[in-house]
Amino acid sequence: MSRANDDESGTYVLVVDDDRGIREAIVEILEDEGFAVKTASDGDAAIAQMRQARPAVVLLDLNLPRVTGDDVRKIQLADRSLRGIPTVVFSAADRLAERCADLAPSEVLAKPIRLAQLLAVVRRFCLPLAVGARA
Amino acid sequence: MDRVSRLVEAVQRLSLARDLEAVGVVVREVARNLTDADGAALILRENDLCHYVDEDTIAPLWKGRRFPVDQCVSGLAMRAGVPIVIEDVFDDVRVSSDVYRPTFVRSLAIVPIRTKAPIGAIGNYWSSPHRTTDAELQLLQALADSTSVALENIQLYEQLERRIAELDRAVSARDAFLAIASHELKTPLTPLLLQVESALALIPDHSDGLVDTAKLASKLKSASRQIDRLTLLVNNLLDLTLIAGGHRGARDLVGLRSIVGSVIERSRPLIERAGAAVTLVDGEEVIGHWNRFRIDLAFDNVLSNALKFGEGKPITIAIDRRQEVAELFVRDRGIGISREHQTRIFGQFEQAVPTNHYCGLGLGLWVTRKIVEEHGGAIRVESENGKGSTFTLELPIAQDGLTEA
Repeated sequence: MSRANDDESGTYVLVVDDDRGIREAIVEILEDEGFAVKTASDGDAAIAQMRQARPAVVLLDLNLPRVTGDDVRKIQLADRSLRGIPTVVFSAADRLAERCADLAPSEVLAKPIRLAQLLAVVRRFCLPLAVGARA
Repeated sequence: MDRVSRLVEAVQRLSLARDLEAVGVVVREVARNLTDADGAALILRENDLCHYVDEDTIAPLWKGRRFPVDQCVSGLAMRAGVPIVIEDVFDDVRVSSDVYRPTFVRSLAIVPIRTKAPIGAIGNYWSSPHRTTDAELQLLQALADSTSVALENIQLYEQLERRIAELDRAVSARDAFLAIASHELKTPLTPLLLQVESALALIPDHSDGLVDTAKLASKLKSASRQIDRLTLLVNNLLDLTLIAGGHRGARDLVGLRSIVGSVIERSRPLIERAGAAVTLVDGEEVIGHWNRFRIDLAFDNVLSNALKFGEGKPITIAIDRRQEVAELFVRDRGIGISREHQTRIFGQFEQAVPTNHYCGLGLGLWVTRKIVEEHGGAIRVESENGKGSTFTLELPIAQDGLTEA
């Protein structure tokens, strides 16, 4: 993967969660911090969004309707163009670490997540728009 | 081996028998040996029939066949609860010699299994006239008594195994439920925690800074909505515990149409989000003896279900009265339910498709079924994949006398 390619499309955070309350809270917080954010409420929409424009990081819930978060990871891992996208799994599922064993996520966060955790993980993979423009 | 030793051995083997086949083997072998007979059979009563379950004979008799209780000697022994001895079948008014002519049987002795309400009999057969002694009869009766205990053990053993399997299923269903419940209870905590923490972050460390009160208010409102959601979840869990435990709610005279109307009104935000037009077909009020809150919950579940799986297409609700039964129809035009899932969806913790319904607990339609059944009614579904579903709730109008304490 070329560096230019990363710069080209990895500019926003993709939040994938079927719960509207969670999507709204995260979007509001990250936008306030100057990040560009897009959302998807199921696995199909998440994959479509990743193909359309490469996110800097994906925050991925696991228990999604139809195409689950687990499926999304499998699709990502099997697809050269999606494999390199940093993906953070965040879920309220039981035995989360066990469930993520084969999913090779960049990081795993157990719900409920704290504000500091959310900001730290996003900052690890994504530059806020304002900062990015200055650089 | 003498006869008593054979009997003792048989009693031991019978105590270990775990199925009817094993009992049959012991009885037929031992019964024959105990009396030096030419054949022995185990016969069990099946309502008005005598079933010749197993036999050990010098030539085939009636194994696998069934005869009316009032037309065979074993039936006679079972009905009378006493042993019957026939020294010569061709010289006894109690039997028709024609029955025995095609067989080797010339003489027989039958003892009932259990003298009180016999459940079967053990038959001994000889090919020549035989005078059964009291000692032989006592041995046979002792074998029959042991057989009775063995058969009862098998029944208990089977009941026990069935019960264990039921409990295993219940335990795994409960485990699955707890996993879902914990997931659903944790879900609102995420936005709640994030909103509260980011609201706190808005308040500056030093009081000289300005607080964006509009933003603060919006975050606190959002947090409060999540608290409502959690409260609802916990309350529903408590309700469900009562309903699952068979707790019977109080009954009043209530109008079905008014309940349905208020649920629809309350569900407006959900209806708008689903983008579906919900129509309650005009008609007369139907009043019955019901528990208002439970009927409310029962309909709420079916409506939520229709909104969830209705793909935003119109939902039609109708209320009708057919003689002494109120009927409530909820029709959606959404994804539908395949035939194989149509009975499963009313089970506990079942969802035809994995998605978060009725607080995602997979209990909605089960709860509805429990509530409707508790009112002496029924729920059914007609559905076709891709064409939508119609749920029908039937509620008897009068107070059901059966479950009334």
